Amino acid sequence: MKKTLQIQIGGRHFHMDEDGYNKLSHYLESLKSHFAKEGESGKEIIEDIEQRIAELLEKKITPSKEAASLDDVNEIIATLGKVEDFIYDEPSSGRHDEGYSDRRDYRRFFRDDENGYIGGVCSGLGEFFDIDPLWIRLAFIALVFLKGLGAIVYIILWIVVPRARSTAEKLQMKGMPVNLTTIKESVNAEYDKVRSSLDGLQNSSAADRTRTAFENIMRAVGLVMVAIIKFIIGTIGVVFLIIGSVFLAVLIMVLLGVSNVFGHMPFWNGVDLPGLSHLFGTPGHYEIAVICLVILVLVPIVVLIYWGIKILFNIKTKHPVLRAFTLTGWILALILFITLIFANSANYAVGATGSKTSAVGTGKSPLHIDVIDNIEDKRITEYRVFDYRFKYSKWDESLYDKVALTIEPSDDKEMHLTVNKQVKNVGIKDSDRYIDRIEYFWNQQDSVVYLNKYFSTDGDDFWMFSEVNVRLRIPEGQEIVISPRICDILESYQYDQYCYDRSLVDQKVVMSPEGNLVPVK
Amino acid sequence: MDLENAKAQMRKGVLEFCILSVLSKGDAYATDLLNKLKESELIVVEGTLYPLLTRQKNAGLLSYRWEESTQGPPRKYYALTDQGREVLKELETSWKKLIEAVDSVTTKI
Repeated sequence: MKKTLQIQIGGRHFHMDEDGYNKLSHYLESLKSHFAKEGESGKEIIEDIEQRIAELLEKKITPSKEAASLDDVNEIIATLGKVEDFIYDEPSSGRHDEGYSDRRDYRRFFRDDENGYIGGVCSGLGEFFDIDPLWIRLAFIALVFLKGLGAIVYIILWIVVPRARSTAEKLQMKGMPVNLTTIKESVNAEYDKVRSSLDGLQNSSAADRTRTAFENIMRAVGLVMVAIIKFIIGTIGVVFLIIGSVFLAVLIMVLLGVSNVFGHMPFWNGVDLPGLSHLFGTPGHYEIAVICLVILVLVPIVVLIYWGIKILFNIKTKHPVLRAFTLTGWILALILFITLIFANSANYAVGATGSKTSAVGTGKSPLHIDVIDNIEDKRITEYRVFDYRFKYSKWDESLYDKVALTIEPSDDKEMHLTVNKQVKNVGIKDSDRYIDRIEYFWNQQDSVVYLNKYFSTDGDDFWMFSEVNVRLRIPEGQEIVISPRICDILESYQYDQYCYDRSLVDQKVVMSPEGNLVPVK
Repeated sequence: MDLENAKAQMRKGVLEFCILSVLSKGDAYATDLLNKLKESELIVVEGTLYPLLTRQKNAGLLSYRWEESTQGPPRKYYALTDQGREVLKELETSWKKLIEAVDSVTTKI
């Protein structure tokens, strides 16, 4: 609901929204005060302009729309122009130096849809930078092939940048170029304005003295602040644009180009972010979480770019609905994301181990310990994600990793082999299932124990960083022969002990009472 | 040289000339004038016209009369005075001379 007033202008009656009326009367006041010094002819000018306003208002009123709105008033004011934009000789030359003739319209970025093909963005940019729009169009087309970046930038500009509607806007579009010289000029002009205002304070005329000192100081402070803020805002615009663009580029790379970074990993399906899929174990939660995350990241980036463009190109449009919508959406996404994390965190961050010990027959002496390279015949691709290496076989869709072997003294007369499986980052409920999915085999043939070099896990379980430790416990006095291939899987501290100079491999060794393997004399 | 100022002065002079020229072909009210001048992109903001008209009227170049309109209140119709016609003639000659002069200067280079 809106309050509507009845107004009379140019001998005609109109209904008008209150905000529209306020704007219009403000505009007329500014005209009146400007033309006041011209006396009768000033009044005549105002009357003529009021006539014209009435004429223009009449066009806005239709049977379905009886009251003129604020938008209508804004449009009319744009058509008539601000008094500074009028071209005519001031009757008194006194005002001249302060004046309008020094006023320059800096070039502003508008969409030029008269000469454009889609939204007039390229054509408008061409006007802004004083170059043939053809080059800008080619650049955009080239950018489109770069992961669609050109299309995204174009759409953002299309939304953000207003179309040049009035003749004044069309002229501003082709106005004074914004370059270092003109920026410097405008900064200087701003500085002069502040300084002359400050000078005015010092040798103020009698009329000005009626103003209180406090008011004067506040006004001076205000002017200086405005100058500083204008400069800061300009800088922020550039920074926003740069940061926003970089983030957007990175995000696009992450969303689309990751396959190049991480290789063609089987567990990498599009937006499948590692560490997220198992964090949100409940069905459906993962998809929602990804959507939330994209909103959480994308919105600030787009807002940064939006603000950057607005500040840099001096765009003054406001989209309150869009702003409220974006902010609400972002906050909702944040709340949802946090809720999901709490809802799912109980299922996460559990590590589990499972071990199985088997007896090894010791009938024959010496017992040979050997290693079988069980992935020799499989086609293995090796991937590196940060510091982690993954061996993946497409053939059985499994991941392979080396086991770690330790040789220890047995605490009884028997020989034992313990296979210890470890997983990380699983839920309490499913840990058993994941441990069972790890496969490791060894076998004994007569006097030879064959250990597989690699264990396997399901191709989807890469985030569990599974490990398998094999402990071979040998009773005291048992003679064994270690194959040099054992060195590939020995724990590093034992590697130094047994494999460093190969003095203990490929010959009979025995478990000493001290718990070390020593050569048989 | 202040280019913007020069441009504004130039546009103002031409605008005054054009107002007289349009009125020489028949009396007109402000909106007629606006439409003609906007067509040729001589006027950027409509407000420019009104002070110029008043000034020319005060200088005795124009006169106006009120005429009833079929739609809305009476309209102010402007007409050239004899003095206005003389000024227009002078302006036309100096405009032609100006064009010739500018042409001869710019084409020689």
